[in-house]
Amino acid sequence: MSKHVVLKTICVSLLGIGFGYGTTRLMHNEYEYANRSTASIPLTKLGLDQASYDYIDIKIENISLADKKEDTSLVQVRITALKDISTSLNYKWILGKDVVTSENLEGVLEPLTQGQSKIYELRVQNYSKEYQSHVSLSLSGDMSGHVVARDVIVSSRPEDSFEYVVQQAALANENAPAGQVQKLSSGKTVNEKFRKGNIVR
Amino acid sequence: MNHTITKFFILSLLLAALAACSAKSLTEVPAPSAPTATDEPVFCSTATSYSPGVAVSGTAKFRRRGVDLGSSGGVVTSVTTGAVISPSLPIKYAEIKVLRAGTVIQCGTTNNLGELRALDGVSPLFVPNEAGTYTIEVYARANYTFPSIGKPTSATLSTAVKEDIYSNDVYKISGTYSSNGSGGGINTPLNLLAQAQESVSAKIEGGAFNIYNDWVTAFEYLISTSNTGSADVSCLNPRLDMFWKAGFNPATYIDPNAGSSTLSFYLRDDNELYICGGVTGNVTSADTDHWDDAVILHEMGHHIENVCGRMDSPGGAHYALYRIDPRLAWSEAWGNFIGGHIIKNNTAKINPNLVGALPNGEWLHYNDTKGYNDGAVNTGTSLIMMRLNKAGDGSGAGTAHDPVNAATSPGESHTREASIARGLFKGTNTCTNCGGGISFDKYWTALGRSSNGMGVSTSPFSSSAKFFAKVFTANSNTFTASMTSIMTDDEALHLVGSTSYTTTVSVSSTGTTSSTNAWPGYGIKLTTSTSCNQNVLQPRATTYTFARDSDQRYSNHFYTIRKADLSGVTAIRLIPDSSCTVDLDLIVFNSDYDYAEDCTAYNSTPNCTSFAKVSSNDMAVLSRGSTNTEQVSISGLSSSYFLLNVRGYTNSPTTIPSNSACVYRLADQTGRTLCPSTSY
Repeated sequence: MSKHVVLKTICVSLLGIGFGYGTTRLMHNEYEYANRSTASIPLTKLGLDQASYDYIDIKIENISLADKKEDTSLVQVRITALKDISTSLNYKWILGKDVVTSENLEGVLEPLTQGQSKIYELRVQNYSKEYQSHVSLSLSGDMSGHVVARDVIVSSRPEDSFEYVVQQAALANENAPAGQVQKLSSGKTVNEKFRKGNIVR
Repeated sequence: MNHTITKFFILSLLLAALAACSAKSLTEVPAPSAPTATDEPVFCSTATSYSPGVAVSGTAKFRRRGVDLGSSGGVVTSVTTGAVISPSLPIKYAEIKVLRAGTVIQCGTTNNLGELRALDGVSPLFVPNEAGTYTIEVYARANYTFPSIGKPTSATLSTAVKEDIYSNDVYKISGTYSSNGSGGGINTPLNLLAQAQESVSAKIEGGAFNIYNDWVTAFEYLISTSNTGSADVSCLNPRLDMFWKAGFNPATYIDPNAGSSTLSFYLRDDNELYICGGVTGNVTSADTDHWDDAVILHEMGHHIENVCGRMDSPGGAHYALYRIDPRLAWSEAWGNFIGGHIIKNNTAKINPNLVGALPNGEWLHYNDTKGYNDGAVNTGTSLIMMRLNKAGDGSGAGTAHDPVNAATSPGESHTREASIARGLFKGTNTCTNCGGGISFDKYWTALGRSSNGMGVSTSPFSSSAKFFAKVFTANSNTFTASMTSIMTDDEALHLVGSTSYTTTVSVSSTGTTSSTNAWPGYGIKLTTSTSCNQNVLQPRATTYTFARDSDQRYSNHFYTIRKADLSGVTAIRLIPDSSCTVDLDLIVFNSDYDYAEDCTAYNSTPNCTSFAKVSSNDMAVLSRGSTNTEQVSISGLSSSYFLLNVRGYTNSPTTIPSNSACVYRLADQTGRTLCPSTSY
């Protein structure tokens, strides 16, 4: 075999590996995890809290995140009614230290019908990729005799949180070859330890 | 030339790909890697003699945030987390390491005042008679044996509060002690203090030591003869590991996408407790539990039940507003009760500022807060507040959130965790609307593994019905009038065998009205006794108003069965009255069953969107025909305990009348009636 053929083979192989790796990275959703049985269970506290989970789904996300603190970031909250919500609820944005906005921080969520969503957005400054800060939205009120006290929080640097460390560990374990999933000092894997039947709230 | 162009093209692509891979931007996420899992540092347990030595003087204490109360008419109406309180609290019975130049030269333990002491917790803590500086570390970890005064055996406090499951780092505070040597005059005491404000110490070590202190306080309470009499409490000896990190939601361990859905929980097989420290680094407005003593103690209540009784709870979501699995309702109620009871009876040890602030000095709550208010930050609100002395029937000031008419719904509260928690609290505490007169040691007996306890291995299927029956036995088979009133007028916690369960219905097969038993009691034993009223199941439609899919109180009856208790029985038959319009089934569950709902699809709520009869691995035998002629063979069952479930299939909610009543009896293969026992 000539040197040229060897070189070509190596080049093509490397390119293929690079292309394959890059494509996989591109297509892979970093927040997609193994389907654990417990993941489908609402992670709620006592029943007083639970009632609002039966009615309301809330999600928060950074729509745009500024590189510099003096620039404007946009945070969005989507509230979806899982059942008819016949009463008005109060919402309030809570800004982390030094985060500022010129917009209203409080308002009223009018009644929603099942499946209907309401989106709130807030433009903020001093909330950027530079430093960790938080924006949260709190929803409160009384819904058919059930106390509603829900809140959602988003960080400007989720990668600084320990949640991120745990997420990365979960990803690494998900991608690990069979038999090479990380074991904790107890000898168990995370999935073995936090299996549904072992958890009492 | 062609070859050269091809090579150039390939190499360019390759370089571009490599460059793309190596480029780093602000937003790029590094390749995932698991944090290193390390073992917990070894406990310092070696005493070193220094003669002559220098006795170290000093204390270890922690700061904590307090509680702000709102009240009206002498009744607490809100509980929120407040500013850091004064005074600081002692760190008791905690591990001490003394280091010189990085080497451990002495081990010790703090005493009940937080003073630095030798390993026995009494003698002075000596360092060498050499002038110099020593680093003293006090850990949120203990391995301390209490003298067995009035108890058959000693009790050992063994616990640690750690940062996370990977590092296993134990929280500590440390300082430098300067010694002049024995002839150099008086040394300045070293007073260590764990801080409670994130602006002072980002780790908020005070939170870790508050969690530690809650367990120490509960432990001291439980081992005291004043509370548990002469009962052996060595069941508390197994190590309890507690994990907490400021700004971290431990629900992420369970579901990496948990986000803002916060959770504190207990792992039954690992004796590990996880306390919520916030969300994604936020400790100011997020739900945190490190100052919520009731939440911390609730989880500790699970541990107590697990190591000193038996843990039959299926776990999972629990709904204080709903009728839920009696095992779950009981276990969660016990946690709620411990959460309120330990604080009420140890308020000064947990939060001394509360003593003077509470109306009548009485702590009467299970509560959970988020955020805090201290002037600089004003995000504190109440998430959950359950007043444990409220009237369960809806009377009196303020209405319980799960009011039940005890007269018309006897025993219903055995499926309601809030009601059970109130019953437990009112039964043993002296307070407004309380005063059941049951001493806590009777609860301890009923919980435990003695022959009179619910925790024995021969007594599966724990529930409040069984617990209160055991309390009744432990209390010399009597309840005060006040306790009876709490159980049967205030809350709907009627004892098994109560005449309140007797209901008169028209029986089609006999054409007469008969007395029937509307609730045999969850997990009551089925026997070969043939003398009993017929049973009546009262199935309820699935509405999600007061219950999840299959109503655990009204659509199901549950009997404990064991072949040894059913001599000559090879099969169990359901013999229904012809008037029953609901499809009844027989299911035999294994002892550690999950109640499989008759649902094959849920929406995001999650409410059932597709009802169908199901089977599961937890069902040992089942008979689920479309008629009510059901029979299960038990000859193939092992010799252990099983649970027979008579289930009303409520897949068509609109067709089930609100007053449905299905009279039935259970019989063996020959038609001989099988009766429930009259007691547990």
